[in-house]
Amino acid sequence: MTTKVAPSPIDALLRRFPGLKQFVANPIVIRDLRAQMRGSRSYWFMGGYLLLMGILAVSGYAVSTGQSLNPLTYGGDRPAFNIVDAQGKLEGFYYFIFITLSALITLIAPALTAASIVGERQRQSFDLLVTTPLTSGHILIGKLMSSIAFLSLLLILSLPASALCILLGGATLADVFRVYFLLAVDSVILSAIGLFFSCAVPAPLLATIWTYAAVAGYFAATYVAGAMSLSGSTNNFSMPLAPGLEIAWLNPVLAVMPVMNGEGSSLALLTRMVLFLGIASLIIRLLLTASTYRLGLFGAASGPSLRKQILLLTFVTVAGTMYSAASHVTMDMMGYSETQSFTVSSTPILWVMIFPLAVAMPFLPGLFVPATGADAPPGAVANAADEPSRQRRIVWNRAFHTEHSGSMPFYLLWVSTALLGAVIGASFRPGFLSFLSGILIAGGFYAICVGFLIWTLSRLAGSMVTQLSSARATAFALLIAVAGLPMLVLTMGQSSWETNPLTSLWILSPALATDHVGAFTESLVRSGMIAACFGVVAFVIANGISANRRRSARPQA
Amino acid sequence: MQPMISAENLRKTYGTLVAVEGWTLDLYPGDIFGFIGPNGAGKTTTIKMLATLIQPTSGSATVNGIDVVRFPREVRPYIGYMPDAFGVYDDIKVWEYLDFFCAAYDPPKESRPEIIERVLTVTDLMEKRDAYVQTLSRGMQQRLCLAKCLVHDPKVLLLDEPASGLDPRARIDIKKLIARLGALGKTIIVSSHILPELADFCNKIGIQERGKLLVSGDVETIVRQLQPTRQLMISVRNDDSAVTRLLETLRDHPLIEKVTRDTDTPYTVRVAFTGNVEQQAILLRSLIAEEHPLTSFAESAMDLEDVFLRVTTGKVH
Repeated sequence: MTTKVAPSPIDALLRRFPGLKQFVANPIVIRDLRAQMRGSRSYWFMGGYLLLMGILAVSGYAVSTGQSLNPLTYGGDRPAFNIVDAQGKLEGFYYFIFITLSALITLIAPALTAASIVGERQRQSFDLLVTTPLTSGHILIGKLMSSIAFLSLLLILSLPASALCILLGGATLADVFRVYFLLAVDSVILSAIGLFFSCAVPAPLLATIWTYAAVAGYFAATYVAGAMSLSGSTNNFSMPLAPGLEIAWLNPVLAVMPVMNGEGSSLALLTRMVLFLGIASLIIRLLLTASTYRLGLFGAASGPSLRKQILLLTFVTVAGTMYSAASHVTMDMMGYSETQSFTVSSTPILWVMIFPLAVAMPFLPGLFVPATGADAPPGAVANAADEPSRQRRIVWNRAFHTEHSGSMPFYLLWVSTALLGAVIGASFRPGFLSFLSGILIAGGFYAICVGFLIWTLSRLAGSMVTQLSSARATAFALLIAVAGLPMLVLTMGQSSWETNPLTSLWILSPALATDHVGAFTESLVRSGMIAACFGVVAFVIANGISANRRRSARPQA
Repeated sequence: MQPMISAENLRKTYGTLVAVEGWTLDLYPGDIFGFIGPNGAGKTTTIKMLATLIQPTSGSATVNGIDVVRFPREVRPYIGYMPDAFGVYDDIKVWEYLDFFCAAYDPPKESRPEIIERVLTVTDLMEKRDAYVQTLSRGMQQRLCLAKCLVHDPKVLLLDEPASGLDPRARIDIKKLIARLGALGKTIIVSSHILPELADFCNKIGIQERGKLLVSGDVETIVRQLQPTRQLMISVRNDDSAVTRLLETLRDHPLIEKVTRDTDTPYTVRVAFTGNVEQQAILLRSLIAEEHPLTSFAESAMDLEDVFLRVTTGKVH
């Protein structure tokens, strides 16, 4: 026997907490790094990258400060190098360096993971991975970690260029540290987006295209949201918990913007960075769970966890937005002051109510279509011998089950979570709650009715088409028809939208009635009722079709 | 004894296509199961279900007594799976490749070099230890994949077409290797669409067509079942008259169904004998008593190819 070697502290720690192994001794990271860092290629790459950063720094300095660095051009009509003049324009240099860096990260981070899983599938090495005891968590975190390792190398190599900003005086050491931290976290989010599409899309090229489309969407969304909240709060940075900045930081370009000097204590800044880290890790966690779901390994039930995380994220987002809406700063920003009459459209309330629903709409039919199709995703059907009657029944405790048939309770939970978030977020401002309560009740009613409509349309689609993917498409088409076709009729009519009696029949009509709180509330209730009526009709038809199908299937069996 | 692999009524459907149906089998430690069937018979699907890669539509299977469907993660340490087509990673050396899979099974870190050395020796790849994986020949890559299956010393090996696309030499090497592993007491399922490839070293075979296991069991039992007569090859001294005399004697024997002169080997008679071993001995004794100049009297090797054709064409009709 060999002599027993005392375990190192790390080994002891890993034995105590086996979950840490995904992060510390992940074989996938070791293998990826071995392949990546081998030979002269990585030296050339790093050398080239450093050279590029150097050239960018020098030319960036010349361009942003308006100075020529070429001694031969001094004299004559060109002024000599003016150091005082240049020092005054160093802010431009800071922006140049850091925006270039964040653009590089934004472009590179998703590409690192976009081909990872789909590449393994294409190379036919994925099955070999799956038959090992490595969990999907190991595989995904491993891929993410090797991307992080590479990205941190890029960030560290860019330090000489960004250190110039400290040296020359464009930024403080704290600024650079903060920006690097934010960029690092953002790059993980972007990598996680790439990882998700790598799991979800069957071909590497498609995965890359989808990833960049999603990254563009993410960039635009965080930029708009961040810029909106920042424009109000830059003058009033003393509000330690106003949520705007955290959302802005999710955008890699907004993350490099300097925080106003002298405003807010460093403790407040630290709190906000922790908050930002919380939101970011929630998003990363959500993307990883969604990736696990799409990875489709049986034995890894990620559906329930995915739903809980969606609820949590919805709650945080809505509460944050409502808090921001309830704060003076954002009110001013949105053109609302307390002396003016309150108009719904000038507040974010409309967006809080309508926007999540609108964003979720394309996905909801998919969630609600009963997973009876033969091409159902893994884990979608709990029991293959699911009798048809079970799929139509609402069972409350199935909200967290993976089956699609359990989605109605989930939807209701989701709506109530959003409403609860809105109430809690809004309650920070006295007097705001009483005003909101009417809209909240009407909005809740509307959301539930629309949910019922989506649910019944999905049942209808499920009863007409047996293949899951086709049923989803049918459900979506039905929803578009119900929500969109009246719009076509309305635009063709001669009278204006407000006076046309058809408008009141349209389930999206609250979007038109935002001039006045009362009209908005009333419209929500009316449209909710109409959605419910449509839903009942769809429910009756779906029942008829499936009863008919059962009757015709019986004699054969 | 508890079966190492036990499957009951495994079924997998893709839409209306039934890939595997009613698949029932028990295998015990030391069994080498030759899994034969034409392309598209559902062999790969079956093996993937046992390898916890595909969830069966219905039915159950256990490996070492653990349910494959309910506890896939617990089953995985017991199986070594070699797919019919697999890819290797670029820019990685043979030992690093094995180290990666070894680490995935999480043995103590110090033991990993030893394990790698062991599997490299077993698969005869020791001299390629530091070669890049992508530079290996196809046969070597197959062996490397087999080595990868062995790093955790699994009780069950699921080998999907391990010899496909190999030259004869590499084919013999891998067959020998599998036979050696079977002798170590591992339960092995080897699939192939080429029958003679498996005949030498499997003790059980199963023939699958269109998702159904048509026959399965001991090689001898199956052959007996499908071929009630024994094929005897009787040769005499190089003398045409001796052959004629032998043919006449045998034609009158009550236990002999059919006697023909063999076309491949000279002075040999092929006999379809319906009797058992004792009656076979009596026949030999009587032939010697009648002073036939016998040079050999042998039961011909069981013709699996024949069995295969008989079983599968039966299905087509």
